[in-house]
Amino acid sequence: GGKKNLFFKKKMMNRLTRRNLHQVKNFVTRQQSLRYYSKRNNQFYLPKLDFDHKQGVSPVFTGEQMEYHYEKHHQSYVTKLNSMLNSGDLDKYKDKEISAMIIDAYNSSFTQLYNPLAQHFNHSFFWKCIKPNEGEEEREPTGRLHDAIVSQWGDVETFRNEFKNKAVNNFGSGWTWLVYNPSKPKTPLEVVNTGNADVPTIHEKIPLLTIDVWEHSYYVDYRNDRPKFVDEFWKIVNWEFVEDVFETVENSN
Amino acid sequence: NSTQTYHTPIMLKQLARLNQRTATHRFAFSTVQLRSKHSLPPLEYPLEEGVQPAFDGRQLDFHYNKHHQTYVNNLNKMIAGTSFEAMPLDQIIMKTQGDGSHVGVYNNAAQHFNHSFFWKCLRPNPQQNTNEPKGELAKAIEKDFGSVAEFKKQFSDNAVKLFGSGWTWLVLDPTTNKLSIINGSNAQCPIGLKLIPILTVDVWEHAYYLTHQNRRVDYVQAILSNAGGCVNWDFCEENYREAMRK
Repeated sequence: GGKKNLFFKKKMMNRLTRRNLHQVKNFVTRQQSLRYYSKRNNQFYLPKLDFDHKQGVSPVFTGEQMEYHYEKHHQSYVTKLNSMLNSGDLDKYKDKEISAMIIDAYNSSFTQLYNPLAQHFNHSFFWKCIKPNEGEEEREPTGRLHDAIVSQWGDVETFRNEFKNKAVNNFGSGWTWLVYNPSKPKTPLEVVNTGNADVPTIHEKIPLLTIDVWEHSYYVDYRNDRPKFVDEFWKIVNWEFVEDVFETVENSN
Repeated sequence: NSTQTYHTPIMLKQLARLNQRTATHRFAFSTVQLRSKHSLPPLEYPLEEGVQPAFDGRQLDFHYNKHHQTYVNNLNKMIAGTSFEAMPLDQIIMKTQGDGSHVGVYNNAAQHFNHSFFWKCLRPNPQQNTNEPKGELAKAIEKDFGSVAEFKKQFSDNAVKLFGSGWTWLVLDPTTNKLSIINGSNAQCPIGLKLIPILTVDVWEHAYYLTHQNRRVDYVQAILSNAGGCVNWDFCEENYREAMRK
């Protein structure tokens, strides 16, 4: 009957959601390279970058842009988190992983924690997604990620156009993401916008690539010209990192 | 029609002062320009000097000629051939407030209003003369906040804690005649919420990034400060007096 189907459907959905959440929660811990909280010292910290930010991220960001972004904006979120930690405001999260903290803070509307914590994650992730480029050419995805993009968009250019369109039309402050949607294993890749501090993990989607479109991210170098910034962004995407995340997620699915 | 009953004299006068299109109305002073497009209002101070001490000419040039101009251009493009085309700006805002299917029109219309209002709220003060609210507005601020200093502290705190992009407003609620400070995210415009704007500060990062970078608190201070701020308190006083006139 109808009730039995509904019960079964709900059970299926719960299992799916639990599995997605499990993947999402494991996502960050699997990314050994994304260290930004030290359990030993019990402090949050700015992650060490794989490049010297004072030199900028050639050819897209100048040193000045990067200094403000990393040393001021990102740092202010870390400072805020540590002040909350040291005041005992985060005691109930003592043994939780960052990704679980983010989801919990979001679900319980603990905005005072959610905003800086999500932004700390978002920025840490963003720094992994970019890498200086000696040349001027746009970088391309390779391997299984390339094939998945082509399979879903026809070609990389069409994917880039959707990404750019969404990034340019992301009104106000926010981020634009390539994500993995574990509930759609045949067509898992999606381009999504989030506003302010929002991370796709709150919608059970796994981040693969992001661009920061808060104005502070590009204003020094591009002023109001966000479309130009997004065009240039493809020159510095660190596809090795993105492919690595994609393959890790795919293998575990 | 709820928008018509809300079409108070304050809105029309504000719009006329902002150099925007206003609707035909029984009030004699209103102007009718039903066929013309929305446009950037002229600034009342030289662009190249900025609005000292809050921001320099370079900042103002980008803010006015790029950001504000883009909202105007987008608005005109979006409303062409629609019923919004003949509407005055405030009516567009009120009609699209909270309307999920017209978010683009709302965002651009509201940002056009917000910026036009903001330019009027400023008056360059390169000499850094004393600059304080006066008259009836000052009295009302004292009544509703305790003191001007307390009002400025609350306004500044609100502006700094607004997360992401948005505007901080001093508004009058016409149903209670009380002043209050509200934050609006992104393009949120108080007239869409039937509140009357008295003063605003733009805290989108593009408003201050070239001059103050991440130091939003310094930017807000530079605008509000008693000793050398650049609020045009005469404009705010006018807004308040109009709002209080029944």
